[in-house]
Amino acid sequence: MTWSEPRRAHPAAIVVYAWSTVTTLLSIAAPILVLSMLEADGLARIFFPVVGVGLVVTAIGATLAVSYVRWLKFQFTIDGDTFHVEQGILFRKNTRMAGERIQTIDTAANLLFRIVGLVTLNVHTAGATGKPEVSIPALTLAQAEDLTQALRNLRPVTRPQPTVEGEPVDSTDAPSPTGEVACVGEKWTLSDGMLALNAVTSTSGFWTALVATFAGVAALAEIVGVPEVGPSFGLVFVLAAVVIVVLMILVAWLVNCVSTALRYWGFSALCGGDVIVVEHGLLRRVMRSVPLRRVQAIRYKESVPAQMVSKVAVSADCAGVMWGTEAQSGSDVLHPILEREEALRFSEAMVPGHLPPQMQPVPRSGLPLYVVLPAIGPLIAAVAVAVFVPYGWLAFLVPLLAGAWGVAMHKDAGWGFDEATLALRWRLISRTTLVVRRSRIQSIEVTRNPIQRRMGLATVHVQIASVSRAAVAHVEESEAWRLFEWVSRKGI
Amino acid sequence: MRPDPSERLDARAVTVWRLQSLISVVVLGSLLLVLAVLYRFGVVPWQTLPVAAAILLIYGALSVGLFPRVLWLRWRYEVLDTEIDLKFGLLIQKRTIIPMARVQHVDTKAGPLLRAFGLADVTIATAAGMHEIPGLSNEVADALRDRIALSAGMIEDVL
Repeated sequence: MTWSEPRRAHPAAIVVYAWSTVTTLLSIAAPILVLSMLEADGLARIFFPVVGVGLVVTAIGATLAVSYVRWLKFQFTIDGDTFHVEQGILFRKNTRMAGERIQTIDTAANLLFRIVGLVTLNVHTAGATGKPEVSIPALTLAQAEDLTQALRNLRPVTRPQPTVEGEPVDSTDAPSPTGEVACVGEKWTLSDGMLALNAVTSTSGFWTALVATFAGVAALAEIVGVPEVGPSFGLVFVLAAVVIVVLMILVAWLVNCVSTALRYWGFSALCGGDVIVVEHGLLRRVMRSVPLRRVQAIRYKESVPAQMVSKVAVSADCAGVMWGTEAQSGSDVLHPILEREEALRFSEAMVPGHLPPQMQPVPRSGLPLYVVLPAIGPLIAAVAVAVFVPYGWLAFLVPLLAGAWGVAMHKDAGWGFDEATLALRWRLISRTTLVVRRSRIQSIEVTRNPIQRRMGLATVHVQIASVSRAAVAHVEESEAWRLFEWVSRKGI
Repeated sequence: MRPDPSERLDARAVTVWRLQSLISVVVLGSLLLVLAVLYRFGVVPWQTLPVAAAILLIYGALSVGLFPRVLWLRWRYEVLDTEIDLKFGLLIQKRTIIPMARVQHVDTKAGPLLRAFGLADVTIATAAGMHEIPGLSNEVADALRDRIALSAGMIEDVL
């Protein structure tokens, strides 16, 4: 296939463009039409539906026409060394993208697309908006594969590479200092057992599912009405409330189980020389290629249930790919579930140079800060609640939990570095270990608040060119400065 | 621990920061008038007026009288060939290292107030975000910008 001539997306793109407008239109118009037929009488009984159907048909026709023009006006070319995209009807958008700016390319297909063998192709740059820079709504599988390959093969635009001490300047795109940017070929898949284990231990969609369940229950209560189950805060009332909450958690967990299993169905991660190709999904099939030289950091993430069965998820932070569609905390998942030792083997083979170095815990003297800071707010609130609300003393459970959470955060916080890599470990709810190569650290910051200054503690922040800043709080001040000097070039 | 960075900001920065705070205090002060009107129509009790005034007074005294000076005293920077070293922070003290190789681009910028005093801020962008050295004299800011750009190897070709 040649891409040097202007090309259009597959005509199915027209359907993609029109789809949401048409379905919204129908879902609004259909009930109105039915009602108008039932309510009206006499001549209007015939007149209303005819006019109504006419209007709807016209609107759908107009939508299709606009979608057709949109499809017609969307053209892309590989023009020498750049990817050139023109789109838009009234507001023309003209994008020229050098190959070196392309970060990741992914394809996705829903059930319908999979049946007819089409995919949507997304091209991400370091634009950091979270949206793909270019999204081609429909391509055949063969076209998508070919275009992906062609985009990957774009020659970098030649320009003199200024260097400081022989180090390339564009640090988001530099080869790793070892000069080695190749993974080792091996296909990683998920056994049925691991797929199931991943589904039941996943937490990534749990909170969304819980909120949805809660909204559902609230809506149901609105319609059905809340049955009287004894006096407020009586034993029966409290028991009923507890049962409902437990049921909601169970439903949310089940929903998340099913959606996680569907999402990682038929998972494979494959090394393609200098890219990792990750593919998964039953209903919506996603294929994502992560170029190794774009990888800014590797995350090893253990959710609380996954930790109980000693399992780890491995993901990669790439510059600009924030909150990607399937991402866990803004990081592209490379493998959703692995034994701890396996995870290290996976990392060594797929993203060489990102093994965590020897880690050290944060000092015991930091423990009070870890416990007091999250607990102090809830404690004050709990006192107020205990005074004014019956059974209010139950509110003291919250600061107690917050304190326990602080103990857990303290226990899991840690860090370590060797010549080339730095590892930071922290817990929010899940435990994350982030491994970043020294050459990928954009800047380092050591901060000390007045309490920390008194206690000889400090917080270390590391900025990388991907999602967020990573930090470890309340470490020994002298140790923080040691890391500071490690990033600084002065000390070497 | 390494010694503090060597350079201080321009002394006039304190005056500019004081004026900036003063402007925000004046803007907030106009909210007092709104409160007075609300009191006139019986929406709020009279006690809100002295409380709001007292809060504004304390905020004004700190943000105009105290903070700019302390902030200036705490600010240190040093630009080396290999890195940029910053130290600043009122309550939470921060020390930042930006390796020169990570600098993407560097700007000087100045609003009307800064311009009136012949001052400018220098902003340094890495792939991860922005850093700022505020309140430098135009000459120092320009020299600093060019020097960082040169060190980072990003100076533009003159055609």
